[in-house]
Order: sequence, then C-alpha cells, then structure tokens
Amino acid sequence: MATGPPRPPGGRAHTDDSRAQTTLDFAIGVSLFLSVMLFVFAFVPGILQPFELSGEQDTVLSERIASDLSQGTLGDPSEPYVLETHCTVAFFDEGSPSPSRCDYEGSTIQERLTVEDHRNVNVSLRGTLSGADADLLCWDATSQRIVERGSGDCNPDAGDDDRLLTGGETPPQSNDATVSSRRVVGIQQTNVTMRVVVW
Amino acid sequence: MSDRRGGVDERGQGHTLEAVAAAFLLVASVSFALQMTAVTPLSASTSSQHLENQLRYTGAGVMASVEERGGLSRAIRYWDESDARFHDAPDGGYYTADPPDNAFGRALNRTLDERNIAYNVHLVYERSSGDRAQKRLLYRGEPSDHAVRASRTVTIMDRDPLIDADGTENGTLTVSNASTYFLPDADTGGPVHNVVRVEVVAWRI
Amino acid sequence: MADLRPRDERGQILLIAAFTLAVIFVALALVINSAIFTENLASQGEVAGSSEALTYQDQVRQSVAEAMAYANRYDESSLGASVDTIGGQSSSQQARGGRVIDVSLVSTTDGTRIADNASGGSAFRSSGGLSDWNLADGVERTRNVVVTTRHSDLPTSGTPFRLRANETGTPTNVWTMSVWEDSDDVVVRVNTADGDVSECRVAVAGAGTFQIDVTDGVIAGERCHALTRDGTAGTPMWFATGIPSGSTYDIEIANGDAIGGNYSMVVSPRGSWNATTLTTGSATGTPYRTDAIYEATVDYAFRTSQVTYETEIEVTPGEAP
Repeated sequence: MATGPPRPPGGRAHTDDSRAQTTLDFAIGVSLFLSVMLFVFAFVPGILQPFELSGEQDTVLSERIASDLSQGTLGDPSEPYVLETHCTVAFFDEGSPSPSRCDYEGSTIQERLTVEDHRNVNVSLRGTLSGADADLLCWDATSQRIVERGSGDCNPDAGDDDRLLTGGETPPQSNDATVSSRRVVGIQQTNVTMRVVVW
Repeated sequence: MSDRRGGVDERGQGHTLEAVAAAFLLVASVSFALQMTAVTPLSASTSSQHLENQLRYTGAGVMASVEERGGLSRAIRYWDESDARFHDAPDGGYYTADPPDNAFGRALNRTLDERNIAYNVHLVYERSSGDRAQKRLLYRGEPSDHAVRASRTVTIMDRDPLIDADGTENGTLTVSNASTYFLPDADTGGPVHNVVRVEVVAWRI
Repeated sequence: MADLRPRDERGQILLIAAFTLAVIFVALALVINSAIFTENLASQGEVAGSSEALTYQDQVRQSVAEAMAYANRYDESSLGASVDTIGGQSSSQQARGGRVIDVSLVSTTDGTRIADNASGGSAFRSSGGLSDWNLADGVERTRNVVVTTRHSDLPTSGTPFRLRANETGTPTNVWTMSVWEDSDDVVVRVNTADGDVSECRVAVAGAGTFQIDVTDGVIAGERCHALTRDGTAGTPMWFATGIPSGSTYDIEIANGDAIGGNYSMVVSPRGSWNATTLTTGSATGTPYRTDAIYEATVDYAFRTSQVTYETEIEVTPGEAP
C-alpha cells in the first residue's frame, strides 16, 4: 500500500501547515483590497462632479450668440468678422425698433438675439482705441464715431445720442456663475473685442 | 492527496496575491477612467476646449479685420532690402519680443498680448518647384500642447511694392525686383508672385 | 476535508469582483468621454465647417481683387491666368487640410479706368485745362474712387473742390461731395440726390499725403459718416445715392484747380468716358483713361467630407453698397 509521507499527529496542524498562509498574510491582502475599494467608491463620484454643473447649455448659447453676431448678423455674412458700424450701434440701442435693413429684429437684446426672455445675456464691445488699456466702447453721436468710454467725448447721460456699446443685463460680479465668449471683430477700421456673457 | 496538498499550498498564497492583484486592477481602471475626464468644457485649466475655441476665433478675427484694410499683405511686404530681413527684426530674421510696427503687429499686440496669450506667426508658401516652405514672422517659443492655429490666405502680385519702415510704399523696390526678398515667385510666367498662408499659432501662458 | 470545499467553490471571488468593477469603470469612462465629445461639438457653434466655406470665400474674393488691381494697372488679359494660379495654389494648400477648393474665372464686365497719376500731384484739370469738366457720361456703375492729396493742396471753404454724380438728363438730381480744409481738419460735405446733407471732419496731422476713399467712405484711415451712413437712422450717403437705379449719371469735377493730388476711379460701361477731356493711354500729367475690368465673376467651389459649397463670387473691389 503506498503511503504518503508520514503525517504528523493532529488533523488541525495538518491543515494549518498545508495552507501555507498565515492569518496575517490574508489580513494584509484583504485589507489592502478593501481599502482600495473604499477609496475607489469614494473617488469615482468625484469624477462625475464636473458634469453635474447646471447651466451647461450656457456655453453652447454664448458660443452660438458670439458666432452669429460676429459672422453675419451685424455685418455681411460673406465678410466674416467685419461689422457694419450703423447696424452695430443700432443693435445696442435697446428700446428702439431695429432698423429694417439690419439682420435682427425686435427691441430687447433677447429678441434681437432670438433667445428666450428669461435668459440673462450681456453683449459688449471693448477695445483699445486710444491709450493703452482696453475700455468699454461708446458711440459719440456728435462726431459719429466710436470712442472709448473714458475719453471725453462719451456722455451717455447728457441727452444727445451717445450710447455705450453694451446691451443686456449687467453680469454678476462673481465670475464663477457666468460663461463668456469672446470674438475679435473689425469695426470702423480697427479691431475690437466683442464679449458675450451668459448666466 | 499529494495534488491537493500541492494545490492548497499554492492557493494559500494565491489568496493574498489575488487580493493585491484585484486592488491593482481596480486602481488601474480608475486611473484609466480618470484620464478620460481630464478635459471638460468648463474645467479650470489651460486645456479647456472652450478656451481653445476662443483662441482660434480670436486669431481668425484679428486676421480678417486686419486684412480688410490690406494690412496682412503689407505686413508680408514689410521687408528691409538692405538688411535682408523684416524691418527692425532681430538678428534671427524674425520678431521675438516685440511685434512688427505695422497694422498687423499692432492688432496682435492689442488683442493678444494684454490677455497673456503667446503666439507665433508663420508664413507658409510654395516655391516654383512645388515644395512647401515656411518662414517665421514672429516666434515666441515652442507652443504648448493646447495651442490652436488660425490661418488666412493672402495673394501677392508681381509688382507689389515693398513697404518701408514708416509704412509707405517703396517707390522702386517691388517683390520681384528686390534681390533679398524671401518670397520666391511661384508662378514665373504669370502675374501672381505667390499665395501666402499666414498662420497664427496661439496658446495661453 | 470540509474546510477545503468551501475554498474550492469560492473560486477567485475577489479577483472577479475587481474585474467586474474595472469593466464598469471602463464603461463609465466611455460614457463620460462621449458626453465630453458631444458637449465639445455642441459648443463649437457651427455645423461641420460651413463657416469655413464662407471664410475662405472671403479670402478668395480678396485675392481675386488683388489680381484685378494688377490687371487694371498693367495687363488686362492677365486676369484669367492669375485666377488660375490663385486657384491652384489655394487648392494645394487647402488639400493638406482635407479640403478641395476650385476657383475659376467665369466672366468679366468691362469698364474704364480714369486716373491722374502725375508724380507729386497736379491740379484736377481736364486734358484741355478746364477746371470744371465732365469725366464720364452715361455711367452705370462706379467703383474705387480714391483721391490722394495733402494738406497744402486742399482748398479753403470758400472754393471747395466738388465731385458730382449728375443724373443724365436731369441736372437737378445730383450727388455732390465737397472737400476743403479747416485748419488741421479735412472737411467733407455730401449732398445726396435725395436731399440729405451731412458733413464730416477728420483731423489729419502732418504734411504727407493721405487718401480720401470716396466709395469706401474712409479718409486717412478713419471712417467718414458723410460718405457712408449718417445719423441714428443710418441715412445712406454713399457715392451716387439718390440716383435711381436704372438711370445713368455723369461724373463731373468742379473747381478742379483748387485742389492738387492724384485720383483714380473705375467706371462701367467702357465707353462712358469723355473723349474731349481725357486722353488715352497713360501719359502722366493729364487725366487719362485705360481699358479696365470693372467686375469679375469667379466660380468658387469648396468641398470637405461634410460640406459641399459652390457659388459665384462677384468681385468689385471698392464699390459702394
């Protein structure tokens, strides 16, 4: 009868030896695995956090508004990024009817941009026309020229038709809540930056 | 009996290794998933797709508005014949810290420099043999991984005059009779001198 | 024995659990990636490169305008060859970006270029020496009217230089531009045939030459509202506004000896120039006329894998809208 190697007495000692694994090994292994699993379960929802932002459509909306305005509505679609002075200045004149020859209609910014009324939009033109810093632009009705707000010729409250080239509501001060798009356009023989803010 | 004992021996250590392997597998898969989510439209990093789109449109807008007044064509011809480089360019032949003193350079400075956007300007053209060549107009360093490029095509005709340092047209030198001018005549029999593509590569710093 | 069997049935549960979770995470990454991609596409704001077609059309139009300017100044027959070269080089450049461009000349409209190129400038007199004279009669369209002058050659407000577009046969229907200087300003007043009047002042520094681009409405690089659109209503003041479309007009100069400099314009049809006041050829010092191309129609096709766009571009550089 073939016999195996001599067995030590006691069944329990036999199983302990042949398992060749101490409780400590197993404890280390399983605890490592459990800790990794806990870490993973805590971490993965954090990956999804950027996608829970509300107002995701604001990016799309501001991009669309900026593209439309710079590439056709305020100028000639076959000459993109070049704006026509009269239609641009009339665009920022909220409350007055739109000129018939311009490509937009309505009297509020939302109507002219064809967005819903409850959307908060602000469109502004900024540039460095004289001096070194970019400033909000203004239409000076006496000389019929676009000037910076800080130059002496801009008096929007004075009763003549001077007008700041900004339209829509005032954006909130905390920038986290807003999405803005910028375009560089040519108007009146120079470049200015158009900024569309949606929140 | 001996097989089982052998199997039990290996399997005993196998449990521990299995736990370690499982943990490793989990961490690897999570890090893989993480790389997918590094770029979101609103994540606050310089690699944001939304910001890249803005840069591209900005470059295109600058060039379109400058070229409406002929500024790009004049910037390409803003050549100093005696020095064999662009006017006031440093020794490398291309501008580095300061953009050129013409309408194109001023427009780039106004719109890009003050928003901490670095940019390079390349001029891409063809030689008469059909080979494509490129000349740097302005170089500020190697672009980052998230640089974008906007380009615009400009045609230079054979008798277009070179532009002097003050912006006026040179009375005698044209692109064809200036001996040191970089742009070759791609169409030697015809009136077109070359069709140049101006590329503005911009990135945020 | 009994202890061993549970271990047998247990299998590699830990590993299987980890593997399952890993597969779930990879699937999650796939879903997130597609969400990012969709959002990126949505945020780009334009469909499949259709705005590229228009942007490139603008560039082709400007290239052909350059070729037209060359053809008008040097060699009128070269326009077809120029457009072919432009098309060939554009397509080889754009082909590297996966786009196919096709540009070819379809037709041209003939015109006449009327200019006075005397170096150093000269008074705007006719070839016979008249100060008030007609440049062209029976003009249908005009483009690229540019006057180059300097401060020292401008008249005072007493005798302004006038350029008129006078409807043929109706001398009361006239568009007039008057130019004079007032200390450092260049003053331009426009009376349209509709009865609108506007005046703009542009401060021009220095004694060098500057350009008054009449059809574009730009004086020394600045927009002049009296030549473009005036006031909040945007009243059109462009060259020859008020002359009903379908009628022809005559281009006249009054007080031509009050101003000095150069000028140039292209008119259509070709035969409308005045043979008594203009010379033919390009003798400098007297106003002359040459054959020129007024308008070029170019066929432009733009193809990518997603967009096919084809149109005919009419290139008339410097024509008032």
